[in-house]
Amino acid sequence: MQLSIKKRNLIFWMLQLAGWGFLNIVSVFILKELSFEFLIFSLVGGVLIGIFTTTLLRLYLKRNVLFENFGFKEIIKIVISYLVTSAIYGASNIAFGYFYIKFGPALTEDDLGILKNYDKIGLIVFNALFIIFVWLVCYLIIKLLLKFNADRIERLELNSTLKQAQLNTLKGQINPHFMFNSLNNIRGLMLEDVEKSRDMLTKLSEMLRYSLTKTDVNAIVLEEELEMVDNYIELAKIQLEQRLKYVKKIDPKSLLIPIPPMIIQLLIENATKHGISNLKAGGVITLKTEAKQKELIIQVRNSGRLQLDKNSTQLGLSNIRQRLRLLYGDKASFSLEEADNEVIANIKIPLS
Amino acid sequence: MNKIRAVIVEDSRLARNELKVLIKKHGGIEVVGEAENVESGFDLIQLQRPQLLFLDINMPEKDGFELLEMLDEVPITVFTTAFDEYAIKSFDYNALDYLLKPINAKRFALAIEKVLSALEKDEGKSVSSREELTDNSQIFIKEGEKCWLVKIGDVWLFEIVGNYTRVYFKDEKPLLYKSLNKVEEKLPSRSFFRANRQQIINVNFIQSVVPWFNGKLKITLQNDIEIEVSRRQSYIFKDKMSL
Repeated sequence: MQLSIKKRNLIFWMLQLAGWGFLNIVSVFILKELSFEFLIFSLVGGVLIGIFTTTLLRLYLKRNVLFENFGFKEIIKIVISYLVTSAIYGASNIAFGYFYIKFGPALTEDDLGILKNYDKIGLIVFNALFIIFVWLVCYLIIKLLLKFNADRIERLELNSTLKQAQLNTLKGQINPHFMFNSLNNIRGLMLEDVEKSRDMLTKLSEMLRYSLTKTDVNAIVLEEELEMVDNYIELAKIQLEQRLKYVKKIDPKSLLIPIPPMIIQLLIENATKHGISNLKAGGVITLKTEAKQKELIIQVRNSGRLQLDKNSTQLGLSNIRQRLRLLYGDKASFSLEEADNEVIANIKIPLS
Repeated sequence: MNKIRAVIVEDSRLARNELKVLIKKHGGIEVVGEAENVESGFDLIQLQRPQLLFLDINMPEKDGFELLEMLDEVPITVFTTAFDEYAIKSFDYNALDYLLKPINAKRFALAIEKVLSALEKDEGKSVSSREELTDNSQIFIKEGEKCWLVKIGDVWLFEIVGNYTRVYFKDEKPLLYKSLNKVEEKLPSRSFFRANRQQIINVNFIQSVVPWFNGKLKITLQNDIEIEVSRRQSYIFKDKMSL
């Protein structure tokens, strides 16, 4: 459970009231009997002073002390603010006492006994330092506990998004639609070209194997991914036939570069599913790789228009983005754009 | 017995061949045409007026549902799809059957059996080249994610909503993206009557007719819905029903 700021504030004020109220009630009753007026005055005054000074302290700590980046500087800040608050607390107590003597009703013997203490500066100082110290410790402990809790939740969330990402790759592996269409097409192909059908069954098996075994690997050489892509294209061609044309421009230097598995595959699949198969006359898919000094560029272009809004969950695209971010942080990039009736996907992966 | 006249609309040539092999083995169906996308499928259906349509869902540019929406009258349709499509499940009643590819021969035979019994039930249904629908004709309506296949005879009221038409049948009232005038042209004139500028009613659903002001009529339908007939239409109605 993560507390909202509003809730935190509410709890803070409740604790303040309860704590200072309790402290003052106890101290008033421990002391000898006082006149009723003085009792009420001490109670209200004590609570007010306590809440006022420590709320100021909290305000300062919240604004100026970075608990995320705790260091020597922060300790100094806390100590100084602690001393200042204690001073204000002590001074306020004395001021309240004198205020009562001057403007309040006549004092009884007992009252005078208590008020005498206000003249003992050592007691006042010790009292202030002690009470504010206890407050500060309580405050810091609560703060720390809340922070631990928040950190734990953050860690859990991060874990679950990571898992989700892995799950998404699994989901994105082999599109069931594609698989069953391929099987059906191979069945049909058997009627006219047994040799080719056998070949296609092998390619489908290779794709299945690849998607079943490479899911938990973070990197694979580009060459291996290209084989998978070729298989996919061949299978897509028996569905789309002459509607699909495929052009490869592979930089030989790029072949052995490790890349995250299924990324090119997903781009090609998107280009086929959302691009070519939506065009009655079909179109061209172009795959280009280029190894530069510091980065690998992968580009997939397809005829057609970019339709992000229609019938697409964009699971594939967010999958690619997420995996690139998890693996390379900000150093990798992915873009998808439309130009001259072509959809162009670009991926840049840093070379380490 | 005559063979069932069927049309295949499916973008993959091999999948069409596959289906044709199954159809041939079955024997009771004659494929009178095939198309590889929605546009040519639409023309083919207009031309051939088949009794049965094998329809793929995923096709280039327009999908199978869009084809059904384009048709004024929908033949008995069997969807063919590679993977369980949520869209098929969104159908209100089991008016349409679907087959998963690759198609199981037994499952195929079962679907055809269903088609046959549906055809027997509606003898007048064999879609001829007539321009008018009959009470047994089906129309396809898709509103949002929901689809309906509606028998014209089940509709008790058509009503203008802007440029479109709301179709009332059973307890449903989806919106059809056609104008009321366009709908009226196709409706069987024996069953449907234009009560006023806004509404067309199914006369088979009329419970009572009473005279109203200014020579107008008020019609109450079986579900207690009251319809006011315009003056001009009231004369026509009286004439027609020889009142």
